[in-house]
Amino acid sequence: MGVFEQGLLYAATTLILLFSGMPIAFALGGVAVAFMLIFMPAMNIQMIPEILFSELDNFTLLAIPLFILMGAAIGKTRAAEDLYGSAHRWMYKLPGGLGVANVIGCSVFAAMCGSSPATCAAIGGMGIPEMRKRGYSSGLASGLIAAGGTLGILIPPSVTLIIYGVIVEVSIGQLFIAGIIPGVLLTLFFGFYVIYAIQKEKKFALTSDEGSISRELLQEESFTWKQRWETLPRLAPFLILIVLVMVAMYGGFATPSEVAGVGALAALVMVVAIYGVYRWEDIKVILSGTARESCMIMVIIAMAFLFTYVMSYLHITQSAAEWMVSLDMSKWVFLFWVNILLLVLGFFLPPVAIILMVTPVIMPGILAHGFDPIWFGIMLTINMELGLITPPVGLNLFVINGIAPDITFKEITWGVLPFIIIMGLFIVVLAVFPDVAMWLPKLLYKGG
Amino acid sequence: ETKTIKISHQFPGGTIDEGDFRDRLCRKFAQEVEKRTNGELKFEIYPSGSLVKSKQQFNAMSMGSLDMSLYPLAYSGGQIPETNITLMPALITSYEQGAAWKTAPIGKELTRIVEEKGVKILTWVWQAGGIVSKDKPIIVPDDVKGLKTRGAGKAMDEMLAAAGGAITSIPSNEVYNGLQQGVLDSAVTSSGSLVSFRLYEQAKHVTTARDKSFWYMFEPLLISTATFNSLTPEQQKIVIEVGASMESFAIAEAKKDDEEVAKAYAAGGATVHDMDEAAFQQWRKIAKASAWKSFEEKVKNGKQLIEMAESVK
Amino acid sequence: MKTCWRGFSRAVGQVNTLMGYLSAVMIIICTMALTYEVVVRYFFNAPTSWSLEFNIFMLVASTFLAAAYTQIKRGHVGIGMLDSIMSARWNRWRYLVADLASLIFCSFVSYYTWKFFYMVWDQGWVTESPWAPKLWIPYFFMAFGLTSLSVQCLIQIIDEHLVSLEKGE
Ligand code: NA
Ligand code: NA
Repeated sequence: MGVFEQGLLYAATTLILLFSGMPIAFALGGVAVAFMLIFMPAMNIQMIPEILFSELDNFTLLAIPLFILMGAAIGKTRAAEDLYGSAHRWMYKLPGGLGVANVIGCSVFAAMCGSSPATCAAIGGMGIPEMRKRGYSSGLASGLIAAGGTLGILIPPSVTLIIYGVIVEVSIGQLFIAGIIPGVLLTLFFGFYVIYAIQKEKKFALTSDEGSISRELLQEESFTWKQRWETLPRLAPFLILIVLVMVAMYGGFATPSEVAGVGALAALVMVVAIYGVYRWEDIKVILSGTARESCMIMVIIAMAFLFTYVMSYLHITQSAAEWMVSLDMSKWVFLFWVNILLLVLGFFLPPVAIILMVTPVIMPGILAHGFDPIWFGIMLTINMELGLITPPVGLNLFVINGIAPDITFKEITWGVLPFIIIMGLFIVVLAVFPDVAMWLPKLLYKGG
Repeated sequence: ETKTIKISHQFPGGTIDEGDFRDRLCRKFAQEVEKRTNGELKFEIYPSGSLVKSKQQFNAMSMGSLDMSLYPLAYSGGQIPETNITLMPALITSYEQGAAWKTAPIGKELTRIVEEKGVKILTWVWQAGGIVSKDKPIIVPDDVKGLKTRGAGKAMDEMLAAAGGAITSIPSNEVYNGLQQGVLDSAVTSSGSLVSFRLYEQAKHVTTARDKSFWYMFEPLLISTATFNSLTPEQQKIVIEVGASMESFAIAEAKKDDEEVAKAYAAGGATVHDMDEAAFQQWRKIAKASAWKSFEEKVKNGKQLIEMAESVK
Repeated sequence: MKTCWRGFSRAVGQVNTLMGYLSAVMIIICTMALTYEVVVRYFFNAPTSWSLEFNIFMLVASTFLAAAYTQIKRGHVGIGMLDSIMSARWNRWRYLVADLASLIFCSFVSYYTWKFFYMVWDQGWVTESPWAPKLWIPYFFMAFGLTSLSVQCLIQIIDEHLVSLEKGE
């Protein structure tokens, strides 16, 4: 059996197992083990435990359970209510103000932590229930958090950009700087879309007769300046926490994972000391939510690596990339197909795995066609962000599923679709106007 | 009948003529063997740990699930304590001395230890490393006092700690950020990584390995015994010969990398320093009292191994 | 027989739930260890040699300790796209097959993880750092967690599918 047939069979088996309803983690692992048994030397089976461990043996991943803990702790208090209540009072005149506040929250949080699932967990854990309470559809609420969360790997610091920079041997500093404007622009576009979508949902709520919760959207409210200001003191603990995390991160006190640890501990202390959450009943909820969500994500990450290992061993990914480079294509046609390849791989694989396997193969082609590697790194990262929210394997979708189990996978998938389109269009914009990414690094690194 | 052999390594991938020399060495080896076996042996090269993660490569070969790897042997120090001698501070004084290990008793012993685990050494490769720092250059041991430093390697850490450094264990992909944010004041790593991680964007000073360096790492090209035994005697002969023929290329390229550090850091606006014999001897004195001593005490035959290594001229 | 099984299934559930809480406690311990590291490094310029590996071991241990508890709560997410398309009867059969496949996979991997754990323990592997903790520790938690996950899968298959088949059709 050739590599091409093996690749098709691998994809088909994965789809069948995923749609069987088997948990994602076991489905990915199961396909990997089955192919190991059939197509690979038997010794590989012995290596499975070490392969799983080698993926989790990563300090950077530690940020994920820590931010989940932080989100779960804050989620148990009135803090989220305070924050969104205040944001609502300040932004109620802006249609979709709460949604926009969430997008901005994701963006600010993303600027602190290099992980997209962690951003999703931290903001979504508080934001999704509040938005739904105010009548946002489940699809929109979860979609904007899932998409907003992906900004974690675009807005610096970003682990993904570091890995890309090391493989391609370009300046990580320049890559970071290049990610800023696209990150801000994507935040803006997401915000505009939320405003538009909320108008649409309002119209729909007006015309529909059913007493659905979306009627909440139509409630007319108004707040005086006094009512706005009086919410601010209640935000103080929150602001202290954010400042603490920011200072620890940018003040040179700690690495991203350490910041996550400090932030989570501070959040726990705050929750116990200020909000008085100390009864076993409340603590239990925090513990159980943290254990379940982080276990779910980490087991998927470990199994996805096993899945990736088999794909790499059978040379499926590399062959696909090599074949593409070998075709005689014009500059832009080549770039188009590279993006399609990344998109398709993104359906199934996590970003880091794709970068590790694909960039060494496609980079010679990218450089030969005269593309700037810094600019391409940003385009690649946005494409990787897409992978985080495309089914069947999209880490952010699973995080949302974890924090809001009553929202169906289907609703989430439909909810992120508009954001997927925005990001796809943004890749086109980036291709037509490379300076969107390159202006800032060119300005700051004039001397080279 | 053709056989495909997988070579894995953790360094950036490139082409046969450009990029990290450790990747190029693998590609040159593959090309030459393919040619001399008339295509009976074919190769797939997996750079930057895209098949097996860096630390797991040795076990993968040992168990027979990976064919070949260009691998820093000291990564196996937790499993085969003797291999810590291949990243022992201030033990190796030059590339020539490192190359001489191959035929010396220490080389024979190392070969025996590795073969006991089901792995054969094909190409003897050493690479030196340098020191980057933010505020002041690090040339003699006193310079590192009180600085938050990443040593990359157990024995290196022991020596730097003995010199008064505050050893900070952070993952390699955080070194750049760590320097930027101030979590780290300095770091020690191979010349290749000094350049590819672009630390000159964050560091003001670099001490290169052009003259002397206390940091020499053994990163040989290895083959799984299971794979080796599955080859025909003719193929085995070719693999061994081509492997050995890569050694002069490795030395030349490693030296080029040491020079490249100076160029890249000067271009990046950092001040370039070198370590002379006197400074090296200061480091060696501290290394003997710390890292060497602990190796001699904790590893069976440790004392003997150090003596063997020292006797190589 | 039936009461005997009920008792067993409940006891396993309770132990696994306890492990789930323990897993979250481990994450809390990580927050303290990390904060301690940041403080001693920044204010006393004395970083620890153990923080990195200690926290990674805790991460691995907490991930696998919580695996069975997450399974109890059906927290290992799957793609439920066919749920609304297929009939209830078909869905039940589909989930029975999926659960059996999960059970086979988890027990397969846990068997090999115990084997690997034994090798690491037997050969006394440690990590490469000066601190050099024993490497069997994370593998033990992996093997233990995967085994309790497998047992939990088996219990759920028997409790949910067989009992509902017995009652229903
Ligand atoms: Na970020
Ligand atoms: Na995806």
